[in-house]
Amino acid sequence: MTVSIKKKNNVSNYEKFQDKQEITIAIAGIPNSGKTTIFNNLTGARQHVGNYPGVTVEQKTGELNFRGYRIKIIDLPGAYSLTAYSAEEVITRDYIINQKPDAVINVIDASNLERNLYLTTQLIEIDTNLVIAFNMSDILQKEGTIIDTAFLSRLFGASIVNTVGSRNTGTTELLEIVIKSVKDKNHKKKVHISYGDELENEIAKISRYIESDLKHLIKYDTRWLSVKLLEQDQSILGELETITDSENYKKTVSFIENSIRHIKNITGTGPVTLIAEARYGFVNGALKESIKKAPERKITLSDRVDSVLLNRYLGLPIFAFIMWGIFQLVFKLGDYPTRWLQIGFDKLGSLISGAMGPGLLQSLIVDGIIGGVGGVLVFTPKIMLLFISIAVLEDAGYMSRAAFIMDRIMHGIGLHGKSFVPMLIGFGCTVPAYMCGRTLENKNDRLITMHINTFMSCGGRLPIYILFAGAFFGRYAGNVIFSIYIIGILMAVAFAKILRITRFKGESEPFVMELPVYRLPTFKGILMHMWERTWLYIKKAGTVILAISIIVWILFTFPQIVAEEKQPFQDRLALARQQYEDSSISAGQFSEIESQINAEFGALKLEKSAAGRLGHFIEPVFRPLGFDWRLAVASITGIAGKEVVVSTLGTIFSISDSNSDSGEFMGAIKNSYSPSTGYNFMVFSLLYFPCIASLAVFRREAGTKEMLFQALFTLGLAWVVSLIIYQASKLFS
Amino acid sequence: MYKSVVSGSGRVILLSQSEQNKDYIVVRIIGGSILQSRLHSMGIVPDEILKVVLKAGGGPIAIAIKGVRIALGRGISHKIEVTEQISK
Repeated sequence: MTVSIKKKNNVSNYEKFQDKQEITIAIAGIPNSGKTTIFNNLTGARQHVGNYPGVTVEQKTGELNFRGYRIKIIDLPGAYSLTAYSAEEVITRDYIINQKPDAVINVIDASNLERNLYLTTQLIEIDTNLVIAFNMSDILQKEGTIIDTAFLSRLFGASIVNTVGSRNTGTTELLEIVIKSVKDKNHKKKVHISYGDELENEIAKISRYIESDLKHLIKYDTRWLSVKLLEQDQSILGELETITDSENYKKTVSFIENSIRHIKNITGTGPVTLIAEARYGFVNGALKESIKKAPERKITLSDRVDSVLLNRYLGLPIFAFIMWGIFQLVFKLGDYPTRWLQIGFDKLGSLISGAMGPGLLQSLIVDGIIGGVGGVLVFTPKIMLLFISIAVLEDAGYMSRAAFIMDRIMHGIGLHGKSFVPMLIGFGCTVPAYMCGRTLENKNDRLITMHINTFMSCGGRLPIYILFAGAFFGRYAGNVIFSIYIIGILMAVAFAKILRITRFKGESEPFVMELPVYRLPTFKGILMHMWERTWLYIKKAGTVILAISIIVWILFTFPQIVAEEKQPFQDRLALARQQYEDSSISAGQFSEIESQINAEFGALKLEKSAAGRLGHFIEPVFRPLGFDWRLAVASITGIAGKEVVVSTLGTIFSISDSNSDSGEFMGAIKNSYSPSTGYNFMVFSLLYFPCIASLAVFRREAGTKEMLFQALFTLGLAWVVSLIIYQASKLFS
Repeated sequence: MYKSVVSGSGRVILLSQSEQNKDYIVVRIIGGSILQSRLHSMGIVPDEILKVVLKAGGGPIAIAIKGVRIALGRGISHKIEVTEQISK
């Protein structure tokens, strides 16, 4: 037999000389089938994670060389079916139909063949070279189930390979079979599933209609298209509507509706259900004939674990305890490496300062770049720990239980059970919280969850609360800070409802979720999971945040102070040094004076800078809220990150670094503002978007339009709420 | 009104009215083709036996069907008609 591999359209000369041939393989399977493990086994670390265009579904690709072939592997998203229910299903289907990979590996959890093969029945209807990976086949052996895979392979028209993903067995064999099937052009005879007389009659009718009236649509297989139309597949109908004129479209729709009505009249059931029953019937028939010995399944360990973890009374406390544990892990344990990184960046900064000597470039590198990017990178350990925790819960199968437990409560505010996890993470850091929003399939649910996540007060805002509550409320500070968190939660609840009835109309996604069997997560799987998400975060620090850090630095540095303005400070410093040398003041006194002078100089520099001028310029906007230009500047710099608000105020109030933790800072704040303004500023800081990094992530996850909405909506809300608080407090005082 | 159901008790109820730890037979799914095909792909098809594994007040319920556990929100359990399976 001649070896003929379908070459990709653009084969470069290089590739011709190399005589390496390229093969593209797609991996499909239902969620929890072990698809990702097989993908990891095939590709190792050579992976690339991206997004499918227009949707927040991750696209994972990997490459490997095998037996002289360069193989590109695409991990399609997990899908239960090839209907148009979710983005995952449409992506899987469109990829196979439009991109025509050389082979599709259908990964199947062999311990639950019936449900896994349901997807297979739909894959075999698409004209593609299918190879089935019987994953977790060791479970079958352990149970004593004997399956005639050769027979099953004939029924489905696809080769079957036994694999055990967790132990990386069968991987090479799987590749061999795939290569062989590509080489042999091994499109085994396409299998037709018979849908029964009533349906088959209508399928034939629709097929004839397609052949005569919709010739230009024939990029799809006619029979397949007929079945999809009978299923009233929204994605196909939408496509039809765009490529044909409205008259033709209406005619087609009414033709199909006729068929559907006809089927309903005869059988009493709609085609959707009949088709599904026929597919399950095909699977059951195939299994009955190929399974020789099937032991009775007993109550599994997983069920016993669930009877505790999902228990009516224990479920919620256990979940709360697990979440508390994760918080402790991330924010307590994660504090150490964060501090080490901070010290590292500080050392790096002073090293560069020492090597370069003072100057603008040094300031840009040390204050701007290392300060800005480093300030974001120091969170990396916490983010890694958070993602490890999430990966463990996900891979172990607990995440869907958590959604189950929280669904009732979240449903009350019009959200999905799954929304809870991103909201909880939001108390730590909003950036990973937005990213966690991906776990929600429904677009409206996801966007609402992301928009209100802002009100989950993140760790970056805490320093502001500590400063202001400490300054004004003394020993009640703890309670005051707690009240801010409560305001945030109330805002989130209120706006979940408001957004649902205004911008994101429609029911929240019906809650249907598989509760997968509990599994021991693999070390490798968790690390890969964690790393691909962490890498997105680090990459962002290197690009968006780098750019913003430079801009912020420019705003704070230019225009510079002229020499005459600088002179008085230098004179005072010289005088102090003189006194110190004359021994009229001690070394301690001198350094105190020196840092005081530096702080005052810093304040002047700030006031003259673009940022300072901007503060004065926009002060009128903040006046009705009771904020002066200093709070205005602090709020603007807070855009870079809420932690920066405190350090900016420190600069403005000429608080030298050595005194920033002491009561002096709080004293200065207390002398400048009233308690109600202090509280008001805390609320203001809570409500407007957390930081520029979060907006960058928001844009990537939800698009520019939603990001702008988030920015303007939270700014507007913060302004209005603060206005109300200030005006009300004036009224009552 | 309802079609005859094999080996069921004949009394058709909604899944939301079911009791924990009892077996039921799926009669049909009320709702549009999208919800139907979603539930079918999860294994919920007519004549299939399901067991209500967990039911706590008005919240979601968990069922066992075709060898897997599936959580269903309250809104959905209102849309699945079942009939009690006669104990053998």
